[in-house]
Amino acid sequence: MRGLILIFMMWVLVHGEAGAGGFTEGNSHFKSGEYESAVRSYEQHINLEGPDGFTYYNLGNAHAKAGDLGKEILAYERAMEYLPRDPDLRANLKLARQGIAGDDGGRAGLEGIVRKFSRNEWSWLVAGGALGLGMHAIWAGRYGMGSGGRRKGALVAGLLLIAGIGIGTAALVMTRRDSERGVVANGAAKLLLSPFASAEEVGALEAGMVVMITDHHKGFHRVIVPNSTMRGWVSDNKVEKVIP
Amino acid sequence: MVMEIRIGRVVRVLVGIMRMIVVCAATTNAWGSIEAILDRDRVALGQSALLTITVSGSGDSRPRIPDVKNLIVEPRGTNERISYTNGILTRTTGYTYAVGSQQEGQYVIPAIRMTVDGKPFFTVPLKLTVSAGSGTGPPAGIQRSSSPPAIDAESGSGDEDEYGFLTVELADSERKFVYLGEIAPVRIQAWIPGGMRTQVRSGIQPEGRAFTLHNVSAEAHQTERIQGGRRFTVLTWYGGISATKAGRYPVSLSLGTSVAVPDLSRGRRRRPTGGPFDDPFFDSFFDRMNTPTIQKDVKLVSKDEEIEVRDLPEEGRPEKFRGAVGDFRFGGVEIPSEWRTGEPQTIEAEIEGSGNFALLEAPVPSPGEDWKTYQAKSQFTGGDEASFSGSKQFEFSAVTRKNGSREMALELEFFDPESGSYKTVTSAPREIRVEGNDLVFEEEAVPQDTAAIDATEMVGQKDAPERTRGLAPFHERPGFKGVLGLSVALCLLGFGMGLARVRRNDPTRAARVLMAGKILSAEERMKQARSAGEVGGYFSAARESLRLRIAEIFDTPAEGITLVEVKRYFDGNSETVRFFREADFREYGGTPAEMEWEAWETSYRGADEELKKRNGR
Repeated sequence: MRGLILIFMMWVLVHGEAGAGGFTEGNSHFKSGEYESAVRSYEQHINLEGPDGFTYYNLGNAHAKAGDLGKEILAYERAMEYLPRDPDLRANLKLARQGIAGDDGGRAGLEGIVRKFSRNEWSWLVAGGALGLGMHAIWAGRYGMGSGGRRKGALVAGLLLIAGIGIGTAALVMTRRDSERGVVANGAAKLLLSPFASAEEVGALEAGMVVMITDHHKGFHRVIVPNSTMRGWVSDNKVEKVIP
Repeated sequence: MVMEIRIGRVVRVLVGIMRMIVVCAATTNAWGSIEAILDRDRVALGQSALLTITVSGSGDSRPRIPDVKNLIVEPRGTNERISYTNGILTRTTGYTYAVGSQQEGQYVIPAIRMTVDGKPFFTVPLKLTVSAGSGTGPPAGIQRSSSPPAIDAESGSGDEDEYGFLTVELADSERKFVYLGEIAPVRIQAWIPGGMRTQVRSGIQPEGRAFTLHNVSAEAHQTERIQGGRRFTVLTWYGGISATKAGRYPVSLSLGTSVAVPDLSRGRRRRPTGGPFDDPFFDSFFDRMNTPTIQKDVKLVSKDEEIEVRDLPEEGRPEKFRGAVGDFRFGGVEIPSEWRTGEPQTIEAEIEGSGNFALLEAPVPSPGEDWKTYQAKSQFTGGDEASFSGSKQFEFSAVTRKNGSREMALELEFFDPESGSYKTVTSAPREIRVEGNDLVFEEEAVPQDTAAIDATEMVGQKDAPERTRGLAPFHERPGFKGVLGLSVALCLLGFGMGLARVRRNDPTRAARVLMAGKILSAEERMKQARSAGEVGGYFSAARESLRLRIAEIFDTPAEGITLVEVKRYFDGNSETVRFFREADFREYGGTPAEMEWEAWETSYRGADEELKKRNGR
């Protein structure tokens, strides 16, 4: 047993160090002003170790310094899936979006509250609430609701769990189209009437614009620019999904 | 009569309801959209293109056209249309603006944002090239004078003053100069000879390039005046002029009109001589009456009046002066009280007053050393017909880099042309609290050659990676369904356990189970007594069993049930009474008679069935 624990600890140490290596290397490149190298290091870290919010955040900063606005916003948007309340990330994303037409990410009222949390967090609220409700049902089934204060407590706990599931589900329903979100990541793009290279151009998409990808056809995405009448087809090498 | 009034009321109420339905439908059924179109993409200096913004749905206000340096945008009008197609009511509002500039260049009108039916929409950015040469067509919204129609020499087409003239003068008669950047109020008057049928055909336009005309009132005030013995109809507009460089320049304006003039080109009809009207006076009268008229386009031009344009004084010019000329004050300021270093927040400010609002830029934080502000969005609301006074709302993002609690205010510096001096106004200070670490921005740390990239204000890197996980949220992964399935199973299991517990704890059911146990025990004892041939024991156990059943049926203690009680509940000939009687006899009679086991066993079963029937089972 001790041997197993030792092997596990060794693995964690080696794996953790190797994992942080790409990230640290990226930070070193960034500090010395080698932004393209920093981008490569962060991307390599994501490919080898898997994605995380801080790496996407740092990657976005490196793209910003390298002058690649589209990829900067894409990286920040991906980081937002992990760190929706991170003030640094929100500040940098707001800064990056300045001057770009389209969805500026600013939300007010109920949607603003919903967007304070990532969809992953809402998912866990639903899952945790459901599991909690199941456990609560087992407990109540086994021992009963009791009486007096205990009964009230059990009822309040049950209602809170149900409310958590309801709120989480409502938030997921509100953000259900987020999986269609994409970013014009590789420079400005032509918005075409139909999915053919020779099709009539109906508009232009700036690098960094957020679009909703609704369809795909032979190398073209059908996109809608939120809160506008702009819609059409755009080459799929210009737009990348936030969640690939 | 009373009936008619009632019917009238009913009709009015119905019409009112219908109107409400139409208005509601118009605001709820329409699909919101906003579209901006320029009627051309190239204009000459001083000329204008027509910008049309079409809003389908219910907008919250007029579109806010972002300020573009040196680009002049003047509202030209609004129209509204409500259409009903395929059961859907659509409200479409068109806003038109004349857009031009006095400086050459390529201008971009940024995306115009507007809330329609509660949702934010924006337009596509538009490009406009202003060049020194002529544009591709006439100025938008203004018809250039076409060549005059064939007019007989007698019409006097060579002298256009015959059809009226234009005058322009500074509204403030005490001042004979304007400052650079100042919009000086001017009074513009068109003098139309009395009796002449004249129609204003276009807006007032500057003829030269020295001055720019601003905010000419949409409606003219009409008066009658006598001057030089002639009667004139005088149309008066108010507007503002501003100059772009110092010096003395003539102010020359023009106004396009259409004048109805007699068409003498068809030749004069000869009247027969003689008769009561054969007189020169009547000749002239009838000539005017009978001669057909045609419309002649006439351009009324003002006489060049020179106005002195003075440069803004260098003396006393504040450091933060950004070109605002007029008299301004703070109307309202919204500054968040809670901040975090490096995190942008929105500051709103309203500046009221009079002057050149086009040059008025957003106020700056004071003290300003620890602040960085970004390009402001602004919207101007005119306070008078010519928009000399009014208010401008600014909304801009600001970032602070210094932690701690302190007071903050906004500051605006401007030049006041009335007093000829620079002034500073400051908003009421606001206590703010800033959290987070003091920030040293990147440009201080990175080499100079890389600091030029336009991202120097962003917050820096994170030091270590997070725990990794997939980008897809948990509910889009297969495990989520498993968790939900497990939860449902747990809920069902809990429900089942609850049912079982309730059943277990039911006192009636518990009593019944206890009773059944006792009956079984009694019947067991009956069997044992029969095996042992103990007649007394057999009847005692059987009577105990029947007592328990009777006690269950009549909810009475089993110990108190005797033959007397049984007779009260059952008929005297019933099997139960018979068995009880025999049991008493056998138990207390003490006569060991011959025992017919099978007969009494059958009798017991009969009594048992009888009791079960009575119990409803």
